[in-house]
Amino acid sequence: MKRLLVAFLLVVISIPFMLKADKIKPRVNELAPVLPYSYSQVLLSSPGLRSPAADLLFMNLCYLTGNDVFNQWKERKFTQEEWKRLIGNVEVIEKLDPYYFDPLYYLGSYVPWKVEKNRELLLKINSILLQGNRKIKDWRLPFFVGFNYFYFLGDKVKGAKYLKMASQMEGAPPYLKLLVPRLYAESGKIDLAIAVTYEELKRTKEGPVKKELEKRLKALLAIKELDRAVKVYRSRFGKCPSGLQELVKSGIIRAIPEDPYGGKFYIEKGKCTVWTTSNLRPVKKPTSSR
Amino acid sequence: MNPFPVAKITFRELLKEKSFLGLLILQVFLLFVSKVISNVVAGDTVKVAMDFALSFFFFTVALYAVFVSVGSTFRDLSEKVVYLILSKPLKRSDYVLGKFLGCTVAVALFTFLSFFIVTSGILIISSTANLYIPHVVVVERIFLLSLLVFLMGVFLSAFGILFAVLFTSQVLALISAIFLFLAGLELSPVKELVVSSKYVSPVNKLIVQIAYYLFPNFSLFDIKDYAVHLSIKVSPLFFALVFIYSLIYTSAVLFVATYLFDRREL
Repeated sequence: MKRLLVAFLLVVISIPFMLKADKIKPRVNELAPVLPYSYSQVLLSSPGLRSPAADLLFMNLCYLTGNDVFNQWKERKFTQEEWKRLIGNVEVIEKLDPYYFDPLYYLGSYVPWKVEKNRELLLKINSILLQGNRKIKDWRLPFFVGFNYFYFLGDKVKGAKYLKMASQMEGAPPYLKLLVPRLYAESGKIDLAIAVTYEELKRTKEGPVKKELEKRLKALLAIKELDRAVKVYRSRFGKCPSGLQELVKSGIIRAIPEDPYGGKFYIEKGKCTVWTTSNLRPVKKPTSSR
Repeated sequence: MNPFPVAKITFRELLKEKSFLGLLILQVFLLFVSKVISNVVAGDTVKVAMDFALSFFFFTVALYAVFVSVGSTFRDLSEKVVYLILSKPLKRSDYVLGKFLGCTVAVALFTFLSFFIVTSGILIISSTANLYIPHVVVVERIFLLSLLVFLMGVFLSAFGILFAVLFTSQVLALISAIFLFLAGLELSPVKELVVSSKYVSPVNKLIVQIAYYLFPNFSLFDIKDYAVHLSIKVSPLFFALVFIYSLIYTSAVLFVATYLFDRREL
């Protein structure tokens, strides 16, 4: 018993030495860097453990992102090179476990905002998301791709293409069906916008979305009609009309149609194409002040 | 005489082993570990818990199969029990076959109990997880995985007996069996990487391909992803093919083991 007590006391006495030594122990690097993982190395070092290896990599990725978000490293933030490695690590995770959705969700919803000016990385993100979409049939993956194209990369036609893909998948919210024609219309592809709206109208059951689509189609057909009139005017007079009223005056159209959204159609100078002040969204009527 | 009396004795002896209960308790502990690990990750925690729990299950059954087959055969040889058994009108090949059958039944019982523990644990974890989109756990899929894990255990038991007969050191036999298992798991990804690489010479590619065809392919028994992700489909033909493959290969291993044991000096 005495010996046990002495042993215990000795352990207690050793504690301050250990604490002091731990304090002055040389540390390699207090900042956790984003290491680039290689698929083949991870695969070969984890026999039969592909999925747990993917889980651990994703945990590491969440931990590092958490540090970046909550400023754990004082003033330090991820560099573009580190974001590039991080995107590469998501690709490794997806190769290890192609059915793992969460890393793709993280990649699509968060990372583009951090690399918004880097075209190369945005395209890389899109390719990983599309690769993931081959195995995981979730509407959010093409949605993220479409969003990246139209919002960050400024390519509305490709954006609309992937949003259309997303809107046709199970569980997609109905508003996506309305977003697709608008993106096509905004990018000047009126015919494509009309065709998509027709297609969606056929598939959509009676309800608020169907009514919205009908309204959208009416506006798009009006734009197309006015566009055709502008082309006739240009071929006849060799110049762009200064306003839509000129089309009426020259007898090409009888009257300017009404925008079902409450806006007004006009000719965009420079492009000589027709658009509307409503931007294909309902225009709020100004409330009268008392 | 037939191999069944030896099988019966082997099975009874293995049930009394501490490793049987010890590894089952380890399974429960590893379930807690899986739960703790899954809490660290963002998103689908049930998926992560299942990944870990099923991996632990897979490796625990493999370890049990190796330990019991090597340990039991070596004990007979070192404690001279084998003399007593072979003094009866019993062929040496019947003794090897009896050992194998005894191990098979023990592995079957161990796999079944492990399946019960792991499935209960996963169902509890999934019912207590607070997920926005719930992760559906299909018990039938875990059961199908367990069937393949059992076949893998049987396959490994045959190798364990072969190595126990082949080597004079128990540690060497154990290590060889474990390394063979790991190599069998790795061969498929190694082949995938080597064949698609332009930096590997044609000779090395050929060596890897020959090894891929001749070595036991343990990665066939690993359908953990199928048990976790419901979108993965597996044809019933796959199960039939794996069963036939393991049956043929196990028979081949047992033939070699009986051949070696017939010629071994006791």
